[in-house]
Amino acid sequence: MPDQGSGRDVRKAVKEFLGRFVDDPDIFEERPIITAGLLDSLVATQMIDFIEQHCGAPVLDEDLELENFDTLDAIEEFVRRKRATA
Amino acid sequence: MNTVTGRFPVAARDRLRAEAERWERAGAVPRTAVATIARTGALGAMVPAEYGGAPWSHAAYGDANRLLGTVSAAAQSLLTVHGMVCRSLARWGAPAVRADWLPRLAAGVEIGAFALTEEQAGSDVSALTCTARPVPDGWRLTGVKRWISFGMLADVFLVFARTPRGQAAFAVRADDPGLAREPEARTAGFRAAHLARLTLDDCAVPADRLVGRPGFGLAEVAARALTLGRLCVAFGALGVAEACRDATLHTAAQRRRFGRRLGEFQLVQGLIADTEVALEGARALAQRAARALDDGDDWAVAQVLTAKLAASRAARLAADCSAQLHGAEGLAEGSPVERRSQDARVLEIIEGNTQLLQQLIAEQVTARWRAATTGRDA
Repeated sequence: MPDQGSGRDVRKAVKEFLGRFVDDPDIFEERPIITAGLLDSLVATQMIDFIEQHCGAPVLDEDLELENFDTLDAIEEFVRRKRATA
Repeated sequence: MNTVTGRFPVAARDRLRAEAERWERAGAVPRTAVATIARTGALGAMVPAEYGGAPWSHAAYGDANRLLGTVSAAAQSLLTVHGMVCRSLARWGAPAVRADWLPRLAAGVEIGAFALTEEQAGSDVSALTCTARPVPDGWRLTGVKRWISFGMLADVFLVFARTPRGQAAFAVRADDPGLAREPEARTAGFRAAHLARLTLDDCAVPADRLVGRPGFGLAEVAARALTLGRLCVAFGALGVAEACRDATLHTAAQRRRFGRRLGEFQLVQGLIADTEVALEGARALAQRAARALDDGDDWAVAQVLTAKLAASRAARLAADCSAQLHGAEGLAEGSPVERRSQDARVLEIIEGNTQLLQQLIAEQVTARWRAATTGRDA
């Protein structure tokens, strides 16, 4: 699990995960992750599993909103919020 | 949620096998056969116990698909689509829908069908055009779904549509106003699979029929359901391949040409060996994929894709070898050999065709390699 001291660890870990599927994950600094159509739906599912299993943020049904997962900022904020209430 | 509590009884397979040719001629797996399958518990295998199900492991459910696949690929497809619907509703359905629908689905009193495919949205599901318009008391769905397995028999559908906030899934009842269905033209394979064309014309569904969240219809609901569906097709294809191999061995042992049994010819032995190698290789991959899902393996998705591709190819090869050995008999419409040849062809197309799977497997394998070379989760 990434260091949980700051949200930056989450950003780095998720980008590293996305870097398995695209050549340059930095592209997601500027473009949405799910709605931009750069990844197929299987990968989006795997990303959510990754966040749940490796970032210490359980993903409940009600958490599955685009607002929580479509950008790196949103994911960082989502994990920070989840960790705070854990 | 999956635990090992179930097993598809061989006696049920034998009972169904005795009827399978009749279903093909009639063009429909009958309700009585669905009831026989329901009594095995397989229709409740993807439903949690709190909703009347008795969850099976992926390995056990896979084996049920294999056994049913030896009988009829059309009948096996019931486990594919019904399982996908049950699992999706159990995971994402609103509490009232889960409580109301799942017990009947688990008992097999009602049947579920998976309504994703459209005429221009098969492999490329992101192109779907069916729309869901939000209205004050729920949603209005409009569009046409094609080639929906068990669509003519289903009581409930999981329908995928485009909302203003992205794709979403909806639980729709067959008798909801605005939903009409008609049989698809007879296809070369899957003749008894109740293939339907669904027309949704401003079909009204209440707000709590949304399954999952808008924007995650494909990325969560469909993607996870299709992983289960691909595992089912992989095991179903093993069943088809086993039946073809057995028919090949039977004929090789019985039929004589040029004064010798066919099985004594080395070129025929080649067909038998090729069939066996493909079948047993695919079986190992399918069993590995089922275990990976049961264990929550990070790369289970890749293993399921690989198993589906290998098993559908094995079924096609086994069917081709069997047809070749059976000569004209293997081409006669309605013969078991011809039926399995046509069904094997279908298995290479449904739940992700071979070319799409090759693309996805390459993507997954590359990702796994990248993860390994960067030192994470190899």
